[in-house]
Amino acid sequence: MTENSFDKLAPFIQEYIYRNKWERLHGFQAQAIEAILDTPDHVLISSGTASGKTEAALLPIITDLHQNPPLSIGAMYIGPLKALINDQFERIVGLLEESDIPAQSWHGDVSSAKKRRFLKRARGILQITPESLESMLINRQHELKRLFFDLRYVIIDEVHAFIVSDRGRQALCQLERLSRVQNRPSRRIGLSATIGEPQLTMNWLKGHSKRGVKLIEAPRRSNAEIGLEYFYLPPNKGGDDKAADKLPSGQSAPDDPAVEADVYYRHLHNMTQRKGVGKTLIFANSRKDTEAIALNLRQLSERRRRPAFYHVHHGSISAPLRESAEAAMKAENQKACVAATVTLELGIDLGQLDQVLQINSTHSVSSFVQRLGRSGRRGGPARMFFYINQWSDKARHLGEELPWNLLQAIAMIQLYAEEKWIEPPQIPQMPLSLLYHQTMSIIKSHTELSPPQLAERVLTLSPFKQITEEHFRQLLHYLLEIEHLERTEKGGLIIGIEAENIVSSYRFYATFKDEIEYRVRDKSREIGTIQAAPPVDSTIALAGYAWRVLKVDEEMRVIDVERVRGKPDTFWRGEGPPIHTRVLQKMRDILLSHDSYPYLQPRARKRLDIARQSAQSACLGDASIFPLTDSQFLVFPWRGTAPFETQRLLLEYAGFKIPGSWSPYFYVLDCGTADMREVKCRLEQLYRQPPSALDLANRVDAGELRQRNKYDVYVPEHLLREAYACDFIDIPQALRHSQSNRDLLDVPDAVASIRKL
Amino acid sequence: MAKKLTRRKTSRAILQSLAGGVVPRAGAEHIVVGREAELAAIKSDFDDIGSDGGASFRLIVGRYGAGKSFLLQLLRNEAMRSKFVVADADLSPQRRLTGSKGEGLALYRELMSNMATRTRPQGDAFAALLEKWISDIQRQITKAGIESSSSIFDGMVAGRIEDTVHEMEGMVHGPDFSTVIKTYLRGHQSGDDELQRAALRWLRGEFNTKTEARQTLGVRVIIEDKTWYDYIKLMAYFVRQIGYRGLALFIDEAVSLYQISNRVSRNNNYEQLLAIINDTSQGGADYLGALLGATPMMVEDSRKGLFSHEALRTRLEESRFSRQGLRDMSSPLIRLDPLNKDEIHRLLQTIRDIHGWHHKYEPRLDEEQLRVFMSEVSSRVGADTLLTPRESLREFISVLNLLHQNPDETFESILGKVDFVTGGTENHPDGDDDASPFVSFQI
Repeated sequence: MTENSFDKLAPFIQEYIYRNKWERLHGFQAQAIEAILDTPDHVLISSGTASGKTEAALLPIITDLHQNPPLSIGAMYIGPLKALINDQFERIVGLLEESDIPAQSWHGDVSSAKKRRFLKRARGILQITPESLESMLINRQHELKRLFFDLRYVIIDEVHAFIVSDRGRQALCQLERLSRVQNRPSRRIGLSATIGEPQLTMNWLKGHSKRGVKLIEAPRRSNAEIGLEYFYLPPNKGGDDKAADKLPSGQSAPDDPAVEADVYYRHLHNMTQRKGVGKTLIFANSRKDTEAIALNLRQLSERRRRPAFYHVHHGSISAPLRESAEAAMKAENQKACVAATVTLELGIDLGQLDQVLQINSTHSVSSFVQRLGRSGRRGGPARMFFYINQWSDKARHLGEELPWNLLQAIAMIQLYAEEKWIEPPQIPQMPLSLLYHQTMSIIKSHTELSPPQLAERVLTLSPFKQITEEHFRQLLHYLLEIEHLERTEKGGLIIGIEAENIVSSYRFYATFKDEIEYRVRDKSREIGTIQAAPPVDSTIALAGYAWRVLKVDEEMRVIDVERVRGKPDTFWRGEGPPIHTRVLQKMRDILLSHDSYPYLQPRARKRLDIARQSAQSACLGDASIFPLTDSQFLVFPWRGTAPFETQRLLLEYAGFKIPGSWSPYFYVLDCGTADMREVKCRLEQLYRQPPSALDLANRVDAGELRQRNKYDVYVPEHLLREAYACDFIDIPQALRHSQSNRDLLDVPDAVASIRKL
Repeated sequence: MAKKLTRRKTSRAILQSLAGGVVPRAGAEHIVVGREAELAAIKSDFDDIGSDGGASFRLIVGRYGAGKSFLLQLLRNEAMRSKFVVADADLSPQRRLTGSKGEGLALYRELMSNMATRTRPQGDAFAALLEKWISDIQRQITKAGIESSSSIFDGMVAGRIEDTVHEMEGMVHGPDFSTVIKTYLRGHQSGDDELQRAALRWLRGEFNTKTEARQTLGVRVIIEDKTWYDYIKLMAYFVRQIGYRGLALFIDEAVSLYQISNRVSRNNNYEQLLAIINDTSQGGADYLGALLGATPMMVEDSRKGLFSHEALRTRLEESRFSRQGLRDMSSPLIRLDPLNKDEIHRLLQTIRDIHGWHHKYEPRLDEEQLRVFMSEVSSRVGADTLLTPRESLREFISVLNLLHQNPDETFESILGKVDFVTGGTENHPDGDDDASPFVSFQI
C-alpha cells in the first residue's frame, strides 16, 4: 500500500523524496495520500507532534495543485501561531521551489512587498493565522473572489485547540464567508496532536458541508513522564493565591516560609538545569508568579554558578523582550526556559519543548493533554511536572482544609491515563461576543449593508445557528443606540463613530481577550494582582487577608479595596474556564480510594494521605452536608462549575444565604432562623417548581456577566443573561440526586439532627 | 421644460433605464421636471469657464432619491453639448479621493475610462480625442499647402504640438505630461503602435512601476495616488488647448467617503476634497468644473461629516438666509429638495407620453388615473418608507407595459396585480439577495 501511495505522488515529489533520502512514508502518511487524492472527503490526521503530519497533508495536496493547477490560491494553511506557520513548511521549501507552487506565510512579520507579490499572482499555498485572515476578509473584500474562488484545500493545524474556542468558531465563520466566493466549497484537512474523542473533531471539521470526514490516526506515542510535588508556600512567594488551599487544622505550618520557598525554587531550578533537557516552559497563573519564578531562578543560577537562561513571557512584556524569549526557545542546541502566564497560551510562539512545568492544576483535562503534547521533542518522551502550592493558614473546616488543587491535578492525570477521557467541547448556543465581532467585521468589509443583507451574511454562519432574528435585531438596536453602528439615509448599516477606533485597530482581528491584570490597592499600597474584576462590595482574598472591593477602575485597571476583619469568606471566581462535573467526581473518588499514584513525589503523597484520613474521619463517603453551627452548613456538591453555580443561585433564590463559597468545591449554606419544616418546605418547592434558567441568570452580577468574553461589553445585558441561562445554568444537574445521598434534600435532616443536639 | 423627442433610440434608452431603476445615460433632458434654478446656476458655471477660464466646484446635496444622480447625468449631457470633455465616476470603497491601497488612482482610472465627448458620449474618448487633435493639426498644415509626404510635414506637426503642450511645462508634473503626449505623437508618426499604446496607458494611470515608465517612455514618474489630481488639472488645461472648453468632472456617491470607518483615512479624503475646493475657488485650477453628489447627512454630521472638518465647514456652510427658503445659487453647495407631488405628477405625464410616443399609441391613462397610481404606490409601501421617483417610475413603467401588452385589461385590474417593492434595496455589487430568507429582516 505504501508503494502504491508513493506512486500517486507527482514524479518530481517522488524524486525529491529519493534525493533527500527521506525514510519511506509512514503508514498514516500513505493513508493520508490516498484519502486526499482518491476521495472527495474532509480528512482528519491525528498523530504526535513532529511525526510528519504536515508532509502527510502537503505531499498529496502539492501533487494535486501541480497536476491540476488551480485558477486562484489553491490551498490555505491555518495555524494558531506564527512560529508554526514559519516552521511547518521548512522541510518542504525545496520541494515547493521545484514545483513552482508559491507558498507564502502571511502574518504581521511578513513584508508587504512579499505579500503584494503573492496576491498579485494569487496561486499556490497561503499560510495564515485566523487574525490575519480576518484582516484579509475585512480589507480585501473586493479581491476575495479573485484570490480564493478555486481554493481547494484548507489545512487546519492544531485543530483540537481550535474547536473549543471562540477563535476556532471565528475560523469556521471565515471559511464559510470565503465559501461564498468559491465555485465549490474547499475540503478541510485537520491536523491534530490530541487524541481524545476524534468524532467531535470530525463533526467540527464537517461543519455545514456535505462531505464525509475520513479519520487517519497514527499509532499513539504512549511514553510520557509525569511528576507532581507539593509545597507549602505563603502567597507572593510564588504561590498562587486563588488556587491555594489551606493547612489542615491542628497541623502547623512549616517553620520558616522562606526555607520552604527555597526548597520550591531549588526544585524548579534543578528541573530546568537537568541534563538532556533543552527547552522548558513554565506555566504560572499570574504575571507576578512568572516574574518571581524567573527572578529566583536567575538568582539561584548565580549562586550555584549555573547558566541563567530564564525569560518571562506575558502580556505586559515589551515586544523585544518577548521576541528574545521566543528566539532563545527556538535556537538549536541551547538551554532555555520561559515562565509564561496561562492566559497567553495560544499566543506563545515557542515551538517544541522538552518539558512543561505546570504551577498548580490545569482547569481541564484537555488543556493538560495539550500542554503535555507540546513537550517531548524529536520523539523524546512528553514531560510534564506539576507544582501544587498551598499557603499556611488555619483551616476552620473540612472545606478549607482539603487540598483541592492537588486532588484536581491528580484527577486530570487519572482521567486521561485511565480512560483517555477529555471534556467534550462545550459549544455555546449563543456566542454573542463572536456575533458582535463577525457582525462588525462583515459590515466593515462591505462598508454598508442593508439589514436583510447583513442578516443573510451573519445568521447563516454555523456558529450562530441558534441565534434568532429577534436576538439579532435586539443586538443591532443596541449597537445603533451605543453608536457602534449607524443607519444611512438609505436604511443601510455602517460602522458608527463609537466603534471606529475599535474596528480600525489591529486588535480587532482577534477574538480572544488580551491578557489583563488588575492591580489591587489598599489606599496607596499595592497588595497584589488579580486577573478579573470582582463586583464592587464583594469580598476577595488576597495575600492571606480579606478585602472588600470599593472601586474598580477599568481604564487604569486598578481595584481599590479595604481590609475587612475576619477570614476571607467568599472566594470570588469570575475567571478561569469552567471545570467539568466528571473532574469533581473523579476528585471525590481519589479522595475516598486507597489507590497510589506512581508520579506523586513524597510530599504530595504525604499530603494526599492526610487528606484521605480527614475525609475518612468526617465520613465524607456517606454525606456531603456537614453542620458548622446550628444555622450554617458546609456543602460539597461534587459537581462541575455550571451545576455548582446553579445550585448556589437556586438556594439564594429560595431565600437562603451563601456566606462563603469556593467554586466548584464547596459552599457554606446559611439557613438563618428557618426551622426544619420551613427549610424542607422551601427545598421541596425548589424541586417541585424550579425557577426558570432565566430567573437565575437575572440574579448574576452584571459586571461579572460582561467580562466573560472579549466583546460581551458591547452586547445588551438582557441578551447576555439569556446566553448565560442557556449556556451556563444547568438546573437538572444542580438538582440531580447523586449516588451517595439526596444532596439538597438532605439539608432538612441535617438541620433536624443539629438542632436536636 | 422637457425637450421634444425625435429619436426612438433615445426613447427606448429612457424607458429601459427607468424600468431597470437606473438614471438614463442619454435623454435625461427629455424627462426633467423642476430644477430650473439649479440647472441655470450650473450652466452659467460652464459658460464662465468656457469664456473666461477659471474653475468651479459644486456640491449637489440631496437625500436618497432626491434626484442627485439624475441631475448629474443631465448636467453631464449638457456639458458635452457645450463642448466640454466630461468624465464621471461613482465613489466607492475601492474608489476614493485618496487611500492607502491605490483608491485615489482607481478613481483617476475610472474617470479616464469614462471620459466622453459629444461625438463619443459613451466614454473611452481619450484615445479618439488625441487622434482627432493630431489629424486636425495635420489637416490645417495640409490646408496651408504642405503635403503630408513633404519632408517637413512631420516636423511642422510636431512643432504645433510642441506649441500646445509647451505652456503646460510650468505646471506641476507638466514636463512629464507633455513628454508623454509628444511620445504619443512620435509613435503616431513612426507607426509604432506599441509606443502609442504605452503612452496612452501611462496617461490613463495604468503604469505600475517607475522603472517600467522609464524604460518604455523615458519619464521618471508615474501617475499615483498622491498625484492623480495634478494630472486632472493638466488634463483640463490640455483639453482646453486642443479646442474643448474645459473638463467637467461628475463624481457621485460622495457619501462613501463619509462611510469610511477609519478616522484617519476619512480625514485624508476630506483634505483632498478641500484641496479641490481651494484650487477651483482660488485660481489654482483652470478650465475645470467639478461636481459632487452628496447627502445632507454626509455634509452636516458635525462628528464625521464634511462639517466636522473646520476648513470644509467654513467653505461650504451657507448663510443663514439661504436655509430659510431663499436659495443662494452662488454657494458651492446646492441643495436639492425632493420632487413635490405636482412635479411627480408632471413626471408621470411625461413618461406616459414618451411610452405612447415610443410604442405609437394614444396614451390611455388620464390625469385622475395618474393620481390614483400615485396614492396607490404611496399607500402600499407604507407611509414611513421613503418613496423615491426611481422606484415609483419603475413600477409605473411596468404598469404601462402591461397595459400596452394586454389591451383587454383595465388600469384598475392591472394595478391590483402589481407588487410594489419598498425602498432601500439597491442591488449590492456582491450578488443578489433575491432568494434570501432574510429579505424581510428589518430593524
